[in-house]
Amino acid sequence: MAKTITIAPVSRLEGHAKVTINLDDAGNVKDTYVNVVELRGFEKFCIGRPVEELPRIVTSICGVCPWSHHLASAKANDAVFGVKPPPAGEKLRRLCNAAAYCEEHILHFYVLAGADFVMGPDADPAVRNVLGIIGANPEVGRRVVRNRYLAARILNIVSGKSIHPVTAVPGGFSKPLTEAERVAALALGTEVLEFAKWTMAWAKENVFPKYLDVVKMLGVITTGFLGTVDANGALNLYDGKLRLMKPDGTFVDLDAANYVDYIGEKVLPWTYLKFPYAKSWGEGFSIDVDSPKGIYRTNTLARINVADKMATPLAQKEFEEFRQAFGRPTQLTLLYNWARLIELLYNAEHLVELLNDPEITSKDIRVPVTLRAARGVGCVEAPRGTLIHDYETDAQGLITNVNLIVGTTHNNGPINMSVNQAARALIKDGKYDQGILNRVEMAIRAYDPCLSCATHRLDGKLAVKIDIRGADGELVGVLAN
Amino acid sequence: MTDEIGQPPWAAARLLILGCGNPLLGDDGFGPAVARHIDEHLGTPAGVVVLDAGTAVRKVLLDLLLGDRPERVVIVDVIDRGRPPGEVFEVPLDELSHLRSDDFSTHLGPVSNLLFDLRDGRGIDVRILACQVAGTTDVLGEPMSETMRAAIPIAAAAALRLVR
Repeated sequence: MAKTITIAPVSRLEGHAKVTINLDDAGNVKDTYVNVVELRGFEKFCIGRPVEELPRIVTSICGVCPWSHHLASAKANDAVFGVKPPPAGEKLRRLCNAAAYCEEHILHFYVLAGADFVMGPDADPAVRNVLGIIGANPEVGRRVVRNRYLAARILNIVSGKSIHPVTAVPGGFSKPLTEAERVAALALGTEVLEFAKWTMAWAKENVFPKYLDVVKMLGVITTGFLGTVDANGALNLYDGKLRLMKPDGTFVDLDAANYVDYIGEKVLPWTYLKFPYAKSWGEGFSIDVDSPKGIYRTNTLARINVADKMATPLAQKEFEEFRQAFGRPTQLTLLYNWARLIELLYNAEHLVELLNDPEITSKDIRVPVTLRAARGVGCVEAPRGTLIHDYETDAQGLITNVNLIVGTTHNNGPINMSVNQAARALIKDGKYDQGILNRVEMAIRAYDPCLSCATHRLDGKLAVKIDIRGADGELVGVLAN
Repeated sequence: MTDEIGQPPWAAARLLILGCGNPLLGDDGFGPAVARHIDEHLGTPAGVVVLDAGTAVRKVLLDLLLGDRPERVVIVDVIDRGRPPGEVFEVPLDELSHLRSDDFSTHLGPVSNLLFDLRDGRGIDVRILACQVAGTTDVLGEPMSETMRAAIPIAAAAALRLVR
């Protein structure tokens, strides 16, 4: 008898996201859907606002990565006004981006995804969570708290506040860095770099080797990739050319302002989240795991795949080791977590590098701007993927059109495909158990999506459940953590 | 600034008062106003950290989960329970919803989930000091109502009693 399995967060708010797995009469996976059921509406209510207000408004899109939206919006403003920030203004933006990345990547590795690996995917749900990590490694928890705090402190020093930032402005940055502030921030950044080095070494010794078998099978799909590189082909998280790579590793570099020539957006009726796809490949759109069309991925693994190299020495060493081990491009979804740690190291190195740059304390950080009717595209690499802010204004500088493509949106198709792959690999002849729940979740979590389904249990209480329904819709069973 | 054992002050505190809310949204700014009142008018007792957590209390609670374990955390916030506006009262944690929309997410996870985790997962005494909200607004910059302003010193004194 055909069944439907729904993996759904128990919702008291909007519901956010759920996973639906439909089984055929033989009990094998027929199809799967990751439904995103929340709607924010920023693209609508920004209409009519002065464009210079948007860098402060869009920080509320996400409380986790407000800096990415802040900087993408500031860059879109630069483009609307037709200006380029002075070098020091741009370096201060890069500095904040690097510090925010450090805070964010530490969080994801240790708190969101880490438990799957540190405790193991088969561990009791009661301990397979961040509290379990603390219990097993109490000093790790303290170091995580301290180093996230240090990264936030750097943002406080440089910009006055770490969340809801306001200091990136059209034409540059609003606050110069004093020498005393530079010295203070450098001391903190140096410690964050040491922690990034320690984390990579610890993970390579204690975490990744234990689960390479899982890494090689779970959520593995074949897609292209999108990321940003500088003029030398090195990964760049603030600026550069977008590099769109096909599954066979061939790629084109494009100006982010021309993204509409390369990226289309598909709307499907069962989710609010759009499906960007590579329309420039001319093959259309399909999230069929066996025959995907136009599907590319963003976020850490994508960036490491498209980059020719890293711009800092320690990250470059790790990059070379990673590429030698897994090739280019690698399609192993759970390697997002490993790639994330290479980026953590890069950001910590870049942070220290910028704080040692004599130009960082220059007071020439902003150029004046003049209102005009224009279109401007700002693009940065957010922790969760390529982030595009596309604005149009009238002659008074009021917003007439906004299009936002955020990192998670790019990965909508791939997340659906990875869930399908994981479910098909794990559910055979109608047999499934508690273990599939976490493995399906792991496939989603690797992308670090900014959805509630990225979440992780803390105490083993009811967090997600699988409703098993017969073909007539009757509830015939429930699996829950 | 870090303390001598290397943790942020709130993560190293034994007793913690967190004023929660958005000062730009009228009565919602009550919690931060209480934190400021303690700081400016009453003084912070030894061993206690009082923090204006604003709208970022989730980050603070996350640190409490990971780092050193405080003995007691007092959350100061507004609530709508149909009581007389401005009334200050304690809300038992178990009266908050146990339903978990997404259990644990720094993106969208309800703070109430983290409070349960602090209590049940780490053994922290979590107390919630609430003030019945007089009104709500979605207009940025709206001032706090006079009723709520009058309750600020009452809540400040009550919060300090909870950490003695």
